[in-house]
Amino acid sequence: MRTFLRVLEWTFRNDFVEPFIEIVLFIIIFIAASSTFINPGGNTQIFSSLTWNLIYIIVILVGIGGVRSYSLGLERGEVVRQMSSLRLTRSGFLWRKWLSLYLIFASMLLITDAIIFFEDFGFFPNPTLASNWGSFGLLTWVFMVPEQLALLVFLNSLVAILSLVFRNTTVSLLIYFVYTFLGVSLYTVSHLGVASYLQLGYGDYQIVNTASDHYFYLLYQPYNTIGLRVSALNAAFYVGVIYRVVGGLIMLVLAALRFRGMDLD
Amino acid sequence: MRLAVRVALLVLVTGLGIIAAALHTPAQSATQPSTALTPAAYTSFPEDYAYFLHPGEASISVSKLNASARLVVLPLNGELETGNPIVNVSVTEKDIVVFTVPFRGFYMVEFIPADNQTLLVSYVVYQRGPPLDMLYAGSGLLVVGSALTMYLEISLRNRPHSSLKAS
Repeated sequence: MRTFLRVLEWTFRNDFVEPFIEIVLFIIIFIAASSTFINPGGNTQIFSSLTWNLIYIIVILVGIGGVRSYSLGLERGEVVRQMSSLRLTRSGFLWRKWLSLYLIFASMLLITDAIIFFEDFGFFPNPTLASNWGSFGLLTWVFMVPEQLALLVFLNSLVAILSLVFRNTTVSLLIYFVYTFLGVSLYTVSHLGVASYLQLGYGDYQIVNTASDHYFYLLYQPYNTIGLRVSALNAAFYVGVIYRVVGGLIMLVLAALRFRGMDLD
Repeated sequence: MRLAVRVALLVLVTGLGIIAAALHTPAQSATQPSTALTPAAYTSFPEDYAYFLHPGEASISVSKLNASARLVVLPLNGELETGNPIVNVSVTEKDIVVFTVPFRGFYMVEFIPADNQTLLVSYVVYQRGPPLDMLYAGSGLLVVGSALTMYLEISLRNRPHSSLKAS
């Protein structure tokens, strides 16, 4: 735990040099919170499309932060210095570094999620006033947070494996941006079926929307107006979730294997 | 210690971000097209006459009304029950009512006819300007973040001197 905290502190102080993280946090809050809605149902829309609205800044934050930590760290010999000073094995260092970056990225998004939550609930709420129409908005928010965390698993592992395979800052960052930006704009080719769930941003919106719809009706209205049971979650939904979580974990394992056999001299 | 300064700076930036977002909040309006309203409509379809308003000034402009009526704006609680009205005024054929919204949440806009007749009404609910609760919350975080950053920076600058004196 102590070595993990030291890796976390090192990552926060040296990989995210002032004022990079501060600027990114400001932009994320500004984009996310400068919206309002007057019609009932708007709050649900704000929650489900939050990741979609922030996708470019999330991709850029993870890309630059990750490549700085892995690729540039390797180029400058910082990775070796950290490993030797903390007496860490390669796999021990990699999972601590990955988790440190993950916590920093996640805390940026959780701060934003909290602000958006209060934007719906009220910054100084009045307990006698309905701030949510039923519980649909709240349920959407509850699904949005873990979905964002799943997206971060994918992006964090993607940047780790690209950095460790190419070991060159420019090449790693370029390939990462090509892959993610193409992933974001996939819907221009097809916005239906599985492809829309794989898409970064729009796919996250689809996953949150599908899950909150499904579970809302399952919890509160298990039988709809024509007496039919609520339909099951579709296969595309599961493919979208597996792509992010399992795909991210597989890439992390591959990155660990690559790092283990890497020549660090 | 340097880490604590960064965290305090993040609090400051969060406050600044909330203030900037509040100042950038776009104007919002909701139009209720010409509708025949009976008092029963408000209990049958309350969601059609409920609006989410943030603290600050809001207005309702009535563009069509076939008889004089009272315009009432009521806060809605979690059980969809209405509280004490924040607006209760008489309106005529064409009117604009400006009022202050105290808390963020759902408010019901009702037109109550003088007698029990059906009203034909069309109106727009409009709100612009920064949400006041966001401005206050952002300012609070900004002040706390600034104070913490300054305190920690000053402590950090004094620290080497005191250690030099000790040695």
